[in-house]
Amino acid sequence: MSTKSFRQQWLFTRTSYYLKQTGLSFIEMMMTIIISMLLISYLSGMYLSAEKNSTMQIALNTIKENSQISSQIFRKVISQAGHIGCTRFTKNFHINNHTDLSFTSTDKMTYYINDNQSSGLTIKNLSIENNVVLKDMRSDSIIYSSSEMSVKTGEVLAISNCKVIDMFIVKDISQLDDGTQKITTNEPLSQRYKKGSEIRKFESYSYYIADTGRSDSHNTSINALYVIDENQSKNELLEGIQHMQVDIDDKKGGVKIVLTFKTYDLEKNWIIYAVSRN
Amino acid sequence: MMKKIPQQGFSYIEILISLVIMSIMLLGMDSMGLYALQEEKNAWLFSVALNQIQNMSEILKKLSDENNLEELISDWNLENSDLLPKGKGTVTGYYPIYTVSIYWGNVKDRKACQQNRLGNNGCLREQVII
Repeated sequence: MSTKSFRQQWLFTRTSYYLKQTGLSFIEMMMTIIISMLLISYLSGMYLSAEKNSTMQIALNTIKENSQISSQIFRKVISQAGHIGCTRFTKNFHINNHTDLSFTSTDKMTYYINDNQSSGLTIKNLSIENNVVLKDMRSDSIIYSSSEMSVKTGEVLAISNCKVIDMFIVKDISQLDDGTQKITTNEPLSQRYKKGSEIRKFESYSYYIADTGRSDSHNTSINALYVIDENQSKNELLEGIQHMQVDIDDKKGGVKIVLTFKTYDLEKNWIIYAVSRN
Repeated sequence: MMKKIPQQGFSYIEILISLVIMSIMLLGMDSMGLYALQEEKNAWLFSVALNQIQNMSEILKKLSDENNLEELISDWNLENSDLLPKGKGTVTGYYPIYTVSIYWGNVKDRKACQQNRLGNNGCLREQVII
C-alpha cells in the first residue's frame, strides 16, 4: 500500500476542489435563501407601508385643501347673507315684495335637515353688483336702467332708494339703442323711484351634502357639497364631504358648520364659524 | 497538477456587502416616507389651529354685551380638544384688541407662546383687532 506525503495529499484535495465545485455550497445556498427571504419580506413590508403612507398623505392633503376651500366658500357667502345694498335689515324694515319668494331679516339664513340626516344651509341676499336707474320713473312699472348687470325675463330683482325696497319679477326686458335697458315689472311698485336708485338681483343659494353617484377605490360612495340657486340650477362644489351639521345662533348672528371630510379611510372634522356682516 | 479555473462573476462576500448597502438605502427611503407623512400630519394640525383661531376671531367680531366671553371660550375649547391633540386656547386683552392663542400636544409652558411653533406639539398666536 503506497502512502502519499502530506503535501501530495493536500495538493490532491485542493485541485479536486477547483475541478469539482462549479456552484455554491449547500451552506452558502441556504444562507443566500435566508437572506433573500428576509430581504423580500422586508421589501414587501416596506412597499405596503410606503403605499399606505402615500395614500394617507394624499388623503390628508386632499382633506386639508378641501377644508380650506370650504372655509372660504362658507365665510364668503355667510358674510353676504342678508345683503340688501345701500340699506340694512333692521327689526322694523321690510321689503315690498311682489313675488312669492320670502326675504326678511329672519330668513336671510336658514337651515334644514336632509333625508340623510345631514343639514342644508340656505343663504339669501341681493347681488353685490348692481344697475342704476337712469331716469325718474314716470310709470309704476317701467324702469330705465343702466346695463352693467345682464337681466333676463322672469328673474327676481329688487329696486332700492336706500330707504324703501321693492322686490319684483321682470315681466319684460328690452335693450335700447343707447345701451340702456327698459325693465317692465310684474306688478306696479310701491312708489316711483328716482334717478340713481339701485337695482340688484335676488340671490338664494342652498348648500347641502348629497351622493355623487361615484365611488372610490374601496367601493365606498363619494358624497359632495352641492349648491342649488334660485333657478334650481345645481352644481357640485367639493367632493369628499360626508356630512354637514349647521347650527344658526341668532343671538351671536353667526353660523357654526361642522363638516366631516372622508377620503379613503381617513375621516376628519372641520368647524367653520362665520358671521353675517348684514 | 491541474490549473485553477479563473473566477467569473461576483464573489459571495461581494453579494453580501451589496445586499447590506441596499438594505441601508431602502431603510433610508422608508424613513423618508415616514418623515413626509409626519410633516403632512403637522401641516394638518397647523391648518386646524389656524382655522380655530379664525373661528374665534369671527366670534369676537360679533361679540356683544349679551354674550358671555368666558362661556364662548369654554365652548371653543371643547372644539379645540376634539380637533387637536390636547388642544386648548386662550383669549386675552380687551375690546378692540384681543390676543388669541392655541396650544396642542405636550407644550410645557401653556401661558407663553412667544413664538409660533409647529409640529406634533405646537402653539399659534394671533392678534385680533376688531
